Amino acid sequence: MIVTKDTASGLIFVAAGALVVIEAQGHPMGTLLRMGPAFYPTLIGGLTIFVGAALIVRSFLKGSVPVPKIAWRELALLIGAILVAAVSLNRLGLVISTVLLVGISRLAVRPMHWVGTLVLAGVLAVVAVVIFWWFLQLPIPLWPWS
Amino acid sequence: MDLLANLALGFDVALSPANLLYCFIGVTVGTFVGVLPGIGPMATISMLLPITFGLDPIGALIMLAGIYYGAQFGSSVTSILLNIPGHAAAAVICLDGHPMAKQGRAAVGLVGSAIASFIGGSLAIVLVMQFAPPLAKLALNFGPAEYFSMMLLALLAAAVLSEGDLLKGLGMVLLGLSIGIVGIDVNSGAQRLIFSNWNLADGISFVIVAMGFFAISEVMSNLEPHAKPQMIGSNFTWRELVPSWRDFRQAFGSIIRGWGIGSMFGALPGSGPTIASFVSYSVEKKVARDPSRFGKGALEGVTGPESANNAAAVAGFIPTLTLGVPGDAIMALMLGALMIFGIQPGPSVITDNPELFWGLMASMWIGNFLLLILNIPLIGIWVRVLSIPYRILYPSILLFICIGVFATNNNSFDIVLLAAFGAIGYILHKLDCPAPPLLLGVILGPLIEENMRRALLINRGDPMVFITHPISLAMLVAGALIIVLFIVSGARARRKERQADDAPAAVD
Repeated sequence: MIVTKDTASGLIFVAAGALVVIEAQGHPMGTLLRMGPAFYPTLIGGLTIFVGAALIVRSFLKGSVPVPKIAWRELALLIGAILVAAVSLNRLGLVISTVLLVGISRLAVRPMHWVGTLVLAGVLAVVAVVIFWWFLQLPIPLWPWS
Repeated sequence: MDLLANLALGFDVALSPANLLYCFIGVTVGTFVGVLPGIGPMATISMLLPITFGLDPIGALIMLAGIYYGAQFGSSVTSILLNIPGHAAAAVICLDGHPMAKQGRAAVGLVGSAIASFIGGSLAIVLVMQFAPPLAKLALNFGPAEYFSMMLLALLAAAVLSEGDLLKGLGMVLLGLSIGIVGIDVNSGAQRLIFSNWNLADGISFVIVAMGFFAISEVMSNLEPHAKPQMIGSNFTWRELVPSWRDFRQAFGSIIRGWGIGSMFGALPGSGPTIASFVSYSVEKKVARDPSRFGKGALEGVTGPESANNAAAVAGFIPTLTLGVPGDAIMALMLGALMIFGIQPGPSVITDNPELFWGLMASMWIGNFLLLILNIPLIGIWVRVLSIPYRILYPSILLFICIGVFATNNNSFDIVLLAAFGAIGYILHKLDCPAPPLLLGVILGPLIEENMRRALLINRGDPMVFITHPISLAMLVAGALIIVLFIVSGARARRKERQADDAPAAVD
């Protein structure tokens, strides 16, 4: 079976709605007069499941377009680069995190130019230090030891 | 008439050489920080607020007005050039502004956006002066039921405004509302959807969602192996800045409509620029002779919402200052800043502090005017950003976004969230699920729940309250009409398509 855009998004909505509804059952429901914290999430989650189910049903009845190719390699490199930056910003400092972020994310586009990337990383590190550390004075360490 | 006297008082205060200089500095710094991709007006204003400390209150206010306009415009620049909205209202600007940039019409979009915000904002000031007291009174009639219905209307408008599928639009609104649930429930203290991760206790900031769903997702789309990320921006000439007669005719009506919509929604407490921009966009699409141009670079799709956004920001000072209810997060930040300078919100603020109030109004106008003067020459430089090769541009965008997201709370967990929303946003984008409705859901989610609860509590749990209150009923009817009109016009378009398809059907 070919997964279509409509079934795939319908499945995502159903899953998200189910997550919200199930999580909400850990909280009191309350009444219409005094709503508990579970009331609204159950309503929203329920509606999300309904919309998702409607999408799936519609795609079976009327058909839809197959899911296009997703650029997994580029996605992994980009998201990976951001996660590395998240972890390293407070530990390794602004300069090294910038170089890591630029270096890893740059791998997503071929051909890779190592010298150009290093220059770009260096320039951006200087720019980041001047704007964020010196001018805007954000509380980020510059180096691992500072 | 004392209106003119008030205006004169305001301009008298705001036009002194020192205050003009403060305003100019504010606009310049605000623009330059605001155009950094990923640094939205929220981050810009909060990072630059300290430079206004140490001035006298009026000078500080005027500089603040300058920063505000600079930051807002900076956000429009990144929305149009790079599809990176700095704040919620700018997500609407992306819809048509970015396609304009891809067609090499970025300069027209930027000029249109600057002029539209100038006209919308200045006309709204006239309206504020005329109607501030009665509007404040009308706003007092708004109860929780009216708020609930108004927000529901905005969400429905958002679900249909984006290109295409109603079901997907609704699904995205609901997904946004679900993201809005995350955090500690203010009424009960219940920890909802936080899965014992205390970084989520305060909820998820819409800034992170916006950066993930718009900016990261846009970068990803450009990185796809066969994408052509290079936009047309290198052959820029100054002549492009002069709008053609056709552009002018298209934009003018939308600016006036945006002004009306913005002033109305801005004056209502709790709605403000975001809702005004979304509604303005759907109105433009409805009144357009050829709605199919929208989403593909229609100038009215930029000028209407931009005018509405600014009119709402100006008119929003009525509820913000008289009731202490800011219309959106940026207004809340501005209110906080105003309080630092000794403006206490309350019904009497206009009468008690006339120099401050009218000085603020006049400085808003001057800030907007200086913005126009400063930025028209700079547009050439902004447009050149597009001629930077994408392999150099996107790592820089990523860097600014990561640090911008970090800077709003100084918490690196926010960057992890950014990565997650970026991945989800890209995949949903591939499935044709529109991001703007989701963003509006994230912003309105907590408010809509709160008002639903309150309305039902006041009316003893009777859900009929939303229908028996006339203003609320009118909004619900308008919401239902939007959906019905959408379905009807969609069906008609499909029938036409089928008729057109019938003739050459033999091909497949």
